[in-house]
Amino acid sequence: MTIPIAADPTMNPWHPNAFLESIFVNRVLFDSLTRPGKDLTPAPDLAVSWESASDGLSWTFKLKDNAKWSDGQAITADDVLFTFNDIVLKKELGATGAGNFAAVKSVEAISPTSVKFNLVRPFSALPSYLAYNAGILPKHAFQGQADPWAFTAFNKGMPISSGPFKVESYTSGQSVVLARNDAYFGGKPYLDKVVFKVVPDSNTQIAQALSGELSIMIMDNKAAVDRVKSAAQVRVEPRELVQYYWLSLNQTDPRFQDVRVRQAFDYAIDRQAIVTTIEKGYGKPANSAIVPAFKAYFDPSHDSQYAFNADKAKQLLSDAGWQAGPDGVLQKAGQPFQFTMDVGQRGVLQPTNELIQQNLKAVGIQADLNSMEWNAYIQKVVVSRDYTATVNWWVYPNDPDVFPYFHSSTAGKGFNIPGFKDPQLDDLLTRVQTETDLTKRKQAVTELQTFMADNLPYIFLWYPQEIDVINANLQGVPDINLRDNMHYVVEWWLKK
Amino acid sequence: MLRIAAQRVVQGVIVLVLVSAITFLLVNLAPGGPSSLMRMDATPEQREALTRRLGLDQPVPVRYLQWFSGALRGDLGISLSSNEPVAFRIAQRLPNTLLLAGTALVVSILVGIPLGVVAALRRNSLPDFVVAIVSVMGVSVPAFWLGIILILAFSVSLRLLPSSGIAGTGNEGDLVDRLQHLVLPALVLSTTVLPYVVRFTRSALLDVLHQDYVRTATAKGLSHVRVVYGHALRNALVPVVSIVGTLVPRLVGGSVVTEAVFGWPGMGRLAVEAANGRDYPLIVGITVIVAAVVVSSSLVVDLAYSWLDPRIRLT
Amino acid sequence: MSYPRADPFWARLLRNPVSVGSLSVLVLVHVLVFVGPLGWRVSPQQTSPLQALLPPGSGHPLGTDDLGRDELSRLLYGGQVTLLVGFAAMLTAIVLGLLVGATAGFYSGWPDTLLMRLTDTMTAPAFFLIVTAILVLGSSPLTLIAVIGGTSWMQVARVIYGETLRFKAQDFVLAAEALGARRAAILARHVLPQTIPSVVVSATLGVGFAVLAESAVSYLGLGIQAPTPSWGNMLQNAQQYVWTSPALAIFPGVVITLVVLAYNFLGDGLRDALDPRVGA
Repeated sequence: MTIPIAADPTMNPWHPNAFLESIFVNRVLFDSLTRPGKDLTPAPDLAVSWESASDGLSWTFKLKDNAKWSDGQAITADDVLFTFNDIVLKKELGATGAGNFAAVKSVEAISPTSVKFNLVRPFSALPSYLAYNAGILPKHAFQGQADPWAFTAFNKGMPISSGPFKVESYTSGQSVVLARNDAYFGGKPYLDKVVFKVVPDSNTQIAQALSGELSIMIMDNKAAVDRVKSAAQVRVEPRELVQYYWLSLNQTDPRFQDVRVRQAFDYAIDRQAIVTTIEKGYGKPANSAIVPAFKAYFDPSHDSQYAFNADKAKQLLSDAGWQAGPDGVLQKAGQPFQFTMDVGQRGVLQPTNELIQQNLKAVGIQADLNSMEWNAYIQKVVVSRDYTATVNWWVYPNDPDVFPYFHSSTAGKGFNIPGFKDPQLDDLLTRVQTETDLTKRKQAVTELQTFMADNLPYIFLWYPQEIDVINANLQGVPDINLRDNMHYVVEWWLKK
Repeated sequence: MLRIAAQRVVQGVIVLVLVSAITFLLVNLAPGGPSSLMRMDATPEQREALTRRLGLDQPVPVRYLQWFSGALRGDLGISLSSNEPVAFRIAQRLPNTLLLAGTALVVSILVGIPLGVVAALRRNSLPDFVVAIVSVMGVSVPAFWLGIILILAFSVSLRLLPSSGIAGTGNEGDLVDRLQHLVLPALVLSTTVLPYVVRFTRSALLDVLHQDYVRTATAKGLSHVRVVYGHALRNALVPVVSIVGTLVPRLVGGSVVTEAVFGWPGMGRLAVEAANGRDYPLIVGITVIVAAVVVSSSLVVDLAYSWLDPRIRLT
Repeated sequence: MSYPRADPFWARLLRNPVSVGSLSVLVLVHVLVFVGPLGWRVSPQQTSPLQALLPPGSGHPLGTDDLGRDELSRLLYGGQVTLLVGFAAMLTAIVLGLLVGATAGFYSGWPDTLLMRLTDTMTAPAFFLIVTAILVLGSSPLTLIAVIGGTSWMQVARVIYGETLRFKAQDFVLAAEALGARRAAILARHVLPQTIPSVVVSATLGVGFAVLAESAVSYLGLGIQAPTPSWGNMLQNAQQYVWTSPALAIFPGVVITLVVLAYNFLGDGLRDALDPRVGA
């Protein structure tokens, strides 16, 4: 059973180099305390149950007592403590995803099969975050390693793992072959091997899916979907994601501080057309940061807000004091409504920006495009915040806690890219983050969505779906996105 | 000859040092940083911590000197994107590129020289024309386009050949399997240099065929075959040898795109990954190794050049 | 010994049917590309998502691209960019290559060594230099011209170097020296003209190479940036549609191939026409 990855993985979920392709491999190799449930709520993995303290300042997790590492040693609270206290919470190591656990002060062992996460503030989303690329590492393997990131025999070789498959061989530039772990405590897997094959070119991936060399893949580029759908040897399945695309209008620019202007942008951009043309219909326009995949929280009442309406956009702009200039570009106090959008060259951002540019032109806004290589783009837009407007996306753990992307405290250097600040929004975000009562939390999330839709801290563009191309012989694959599905490889099987 | 070779080796070393310095300083000018820092979801604390760990908070000249003193001891540093030694990563990939480029070179010479001879001997007639079209097509079609068309034809439609990689997983020892994987990429890569071999063989042979000593030999009654193969071709090979010298860098350059399209785990792809990920030590390491390959190949070519034509004295 | 030429080189060129054909194709393409947009006044940038990926039909002789833009218009405007960049890059490469190769070949001693080692130096880091230069300077046509020209002169230099070495050793040069001619004059008046056929061949192959380099650089995402069309970035963008709308890749691919082929054949024809020994 073969899955394509774009480059060599690093087999350590916390390694600074372990992102993108490594995620797939690490989710198979390393069990975490919880895993994404098939309905996206956190399901047991290494932890069988958990509960929050009444003051919300700690969570206690009861661990499985029969979990073992691939070398036979038992998985205990010590491993959890090592992973968090010695790796994640050690700021100078710069572990990937450490920021997700900023609220964790320390982890202590109550017993060999029970751990307690001590928090600096209430953190209802902790169980979900523990399912998000948060594999537990074996303490005994790292004994004597001064620098966990330099332990290449583990990270780029044969790690001691806990999952249903373990590393059999790793060939740089070509593949990582995982063999079945017969002693897996979570049940015996059906598949013999899981091969992660390095295939960097997306067209080649499609060719290999059609020829049967690949068993399951994500179709990043949806252009070929009709051709693939007509092939009998594969099936095409859409999956829900926790992802939304957005346009960020830098709030340091006074033009964008007027909510009517932001709303005008939303009306001017034909988001449904973007979904139809670029995502081939796999997605829907977004009006908040809460994704439809959160069935318990998503509020569909905002779905038809900001339906494409160029006239309404022009009206709002006019209300905000913008008048048509001689060359068709809007003007206010002698200044044209002109700015540059920085475009990162990744995924569908380029054509998206081209469509948006034309939409804005139609209402009198001149947006010039500055296409940049991804790395340079991150430097300019994210690290230096030196931008006026830009399109990008957020992917986040399976929980509606979106505090880091919207709170006023995260403007400037944090993930609040537009730098939007509003005390009402702050209050709503804090309530969602700290509320432990489910009903009250749902209420807060509903109010949050309404605020976001009405005030547009980001211009929400659309929620994409993922398209998985699966070989007809591969069965038992749950209906969840491929990354979360990596936690369920133990259930997959191949028809002969 | 030996003295000249020694001189060239010394010059080569100087070249390598210069190349490493220029590359190191230039790539650090490029905006952005290593990918582990340049992510949407990296926090400022993470970036700070990693910047310190990777030594990127030190000024560029200091970092270069650190690299240089390591290089003198044979240590090319640690790759930022994989934490493995740079020399190790290059050693994993270099043989694959040498295999691919070597095969492409051999194919283009074995096919190109005869084609060039045919074209020269049958000048301006149909065979000449056909050879011209065939060879020039290769250099007129963008390599990545040719690559994907071949993949669509041979892998997807005909299922004859694999579409990527160097060997099937689990079949790494199987020679036939490896050859199957080599066919398409080597073919595509050889098309980028074939025309040069053909064209210069043809023009060099034409030049020589018109020289007086050839007409003298023919007048003397030597058979056509002896004239062409015994005298003319050997002299015509001189510029062709110089062409081979220029083919090596062309192959190196062409391998970047070919390896990307066919997922060939070679230096070209490593270079692309290193550049995208701003893996500074790896970038400099690759540059130095490739420069070493090019410098030594040009030395070999120049020595062969002066051996073939005794009138040429290398200074 | 050289034989007197019976007629000027352009007459000989025009007697070669392949050269005539190539010349005609090139003239046709250049006229269409530079003058065509005056007649075909459709915007290459106006998107129309509902009309994406249409086959050739009314209003769009070549159909539309993935965002509904007119393909013919994009092909014309894209041609302007690609051809200008290609030609200018080739000129840059030729000038640099001639300077370095001829000087190194003719003046033995340290200039020779220095220049040829410089040539070697430039080859290895070429890829990273291209990437870095574009990242630092941006993807403008000017940067691309400098970068493509600045990294393709080495081949010209090596050939010129070899040719210069070869001709330097020939009798007519020794004779000129014995007669007291200055070295630079010998280089310019006797040796360089002998290299013209090679320069011409390099130049025409150079345009073809530069056009292909533009598309290779676009494949890596560093070429001319959308929405400005160029044949290279159009071809690159069409890769993902090769499964459903292969025509999108065929149009730019065919014109690139056609133009490069024509330049190459024209170069062959020119070389034959300029060769004083042809006809024997």
